Amino acid sequence: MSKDIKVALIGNPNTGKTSVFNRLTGLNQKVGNYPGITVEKKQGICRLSRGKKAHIVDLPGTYSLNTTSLDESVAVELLLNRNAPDFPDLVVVVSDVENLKRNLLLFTQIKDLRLPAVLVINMADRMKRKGISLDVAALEKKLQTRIALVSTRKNTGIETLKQIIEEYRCLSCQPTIDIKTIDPEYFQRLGKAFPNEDLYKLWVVITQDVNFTPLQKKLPGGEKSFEIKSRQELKKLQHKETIKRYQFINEILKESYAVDLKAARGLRASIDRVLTHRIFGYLIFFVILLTIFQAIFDWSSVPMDAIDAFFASASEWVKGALPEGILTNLIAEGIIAGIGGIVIFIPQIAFLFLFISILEESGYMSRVVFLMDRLMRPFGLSGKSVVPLISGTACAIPAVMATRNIESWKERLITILVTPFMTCSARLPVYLIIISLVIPQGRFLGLSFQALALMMLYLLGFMAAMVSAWALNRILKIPTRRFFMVEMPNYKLPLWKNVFYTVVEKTKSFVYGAGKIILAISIVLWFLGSTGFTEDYNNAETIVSDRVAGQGYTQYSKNYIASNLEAYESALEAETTDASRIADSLEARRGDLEARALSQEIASYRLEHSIIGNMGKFIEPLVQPLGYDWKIGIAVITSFAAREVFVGTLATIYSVGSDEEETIKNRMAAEINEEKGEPLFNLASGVSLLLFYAFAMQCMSTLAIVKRETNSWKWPLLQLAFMSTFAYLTALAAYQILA
Amino acid sequence: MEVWQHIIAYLALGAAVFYLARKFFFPSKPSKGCGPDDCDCH
Repeated sequence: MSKDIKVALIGNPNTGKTSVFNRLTGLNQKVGNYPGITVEKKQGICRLSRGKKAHIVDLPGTYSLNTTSLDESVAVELLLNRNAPDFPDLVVVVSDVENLKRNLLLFTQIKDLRLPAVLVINMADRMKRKGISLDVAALEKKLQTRIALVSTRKNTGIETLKQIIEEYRCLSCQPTIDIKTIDPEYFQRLGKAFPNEDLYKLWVVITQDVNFTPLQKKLPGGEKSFEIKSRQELKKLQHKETIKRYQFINEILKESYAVDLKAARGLRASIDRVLTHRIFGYLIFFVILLTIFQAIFDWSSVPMDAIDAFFASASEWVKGALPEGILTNLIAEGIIAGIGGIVIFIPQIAFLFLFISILEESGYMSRVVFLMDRLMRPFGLSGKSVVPLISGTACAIPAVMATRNIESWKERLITILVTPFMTCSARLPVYLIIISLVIPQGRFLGLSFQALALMMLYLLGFMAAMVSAWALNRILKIPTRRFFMVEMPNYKLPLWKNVFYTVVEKTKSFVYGAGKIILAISIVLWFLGSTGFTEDYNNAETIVSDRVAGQGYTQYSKNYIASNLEAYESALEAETTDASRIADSLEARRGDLEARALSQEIASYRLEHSIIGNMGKFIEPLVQPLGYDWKIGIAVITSFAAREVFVGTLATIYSVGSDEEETIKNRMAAEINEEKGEPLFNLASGVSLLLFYAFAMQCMSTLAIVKRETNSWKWPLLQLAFMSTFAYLTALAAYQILA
Repeated sequence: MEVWQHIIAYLALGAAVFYLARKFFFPSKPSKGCGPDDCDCH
């Protein structure tokens, strides 16, 4: 059997490269229409005819082989290294029919590396609407290649592309321009110094080093002496090469490509003028965000309540259906409660990603990038930082990776350091539960206070990122040069399949990813909460019974008994008017409620003197000034692994030993600050918690990825120290003022 | 039955501790092919 064909997929950013990859491989990699989606190479298998296979590598987008950022260099390094395991048999250059001229620059460079290269002209379905006519045969002849006219939206042209891949051996490897003509004397010397090397490849290696590292590092046979031009001279030669290529491209397109510029441009330009307007642009963006947060709250309340109730019943059912014992309690109080604490947020996470995905698909996100560039420059960031910052609203990990397409190291470092301030989806469960507990349900101009509070937290995260960026820009003394280029894709109706996949994948990754940690932590916490070695723990039942007999129930139990009796009495009075029957029933109910209250108090006392209770009491002095009790303190510590663990932890702690069928939210709402006798989750402690989570670096994985991207522990540790201190002080100030 | 409940519960505890230790203290190297979607954050 013949070996697989190795294919490298390369192209300018935003040409639909990843869509072509998905069509060829049948995979569903994330697709976006703003730069920075592909920052590492991705791989897949394409099945060809007669059992043949092509191994496809999707490389990060690059405008040319003269790379300026790390993600672009991934692509060039692969094409230059014949010994690399992925070195391609064939390069598929993906271009966009509307920007063919610019895309052909990269194609001609790759062709001049004498690699078999095929040109994919994507978005062919737009040709008619855009008044584009193309003579494919003439273009093929001029470029000495094969061309596949493809529409990934309509799924056309993919079979032709597969056929061309199969026949790659027939492709010509003739270069398009003679590189020597840009400086004959220099290239003659280069040829003499390295007689066995291809001149253009040598040139690309030299110019790579110009952009990144000291010259001659990677020159083949680099030991030989060769007088290298200065950086300025080499830059000039690069410009000459680009001009030469565009002359060649203009010449061939003159005969094969025509655009009726009058067609359809007017409407798009008008919409762009509004959406990127200095005032209206920001207003529209603000309104869109507000609408999204409003919808997140309004639309998800029903499914969330249903999920919450389901897990409360499931826990109760398990206790009734399984034989009594440690395992039953572990499942009912630990596992189900902990997992319920994360599953409840599925509707809101799904809605958030639905909206983000629609904004991306429609082409609006690139306008946001453009808008933000203007806003961010004074803070030392560029529009390219917007992509990581927006990605940061989903998860800081891919966002930090997405900084690879930022050319300037200083800008990149600042973006890496401030991205964790953006409100990621892991913060959402914490925000949502606290907001629903402490922010009243009223409305202002049709917008609920709770949605406005959520919006404020997102803005707060963004502002913290901006202010930190501004400070870092002044503190860090790293020389930088900056430029910003963003392509505005055409507006289009979202491809619902892509939207659907994004929502499903993001939600799945949130639930499964976080679920595993929460499940494990819930099990450990349950054991720590159900085990104790002190006298108090072992004699809890006697101690509490004696205390109740002597001093009566705690305030929490009194409230519990009174409110339940009140509700029961109202129900009885609706049923009957017989006073003695009502009195008897109430007495019986009171006995039942008192027994339950006693059982709750014993469980609560036991929890307080369990291992976790002792741990919590140990750290309580540290969190008490913020308005938290030892239970919240434990949740804050466990959520250092991942923020969303906070809710799961509280759900588990509050469920230990509890026989009540109660939802997480109700359990949290019923918690009493024993010192003050008021609800534990009130406005002061709630705002304090919200601010703590808005600013704290509660994510071990983000620290790990920052270490990987900066290649040093210095930056993640500084980030951790700064964010944690800032979060603590802000939460402290908020609680002390509001309390 | 109670013995089995204890055995299974403590096995679950062991598995949970092992998973958390491996995840946070001895993480495996990230896959070369992971893209920006593979956020590895949990």
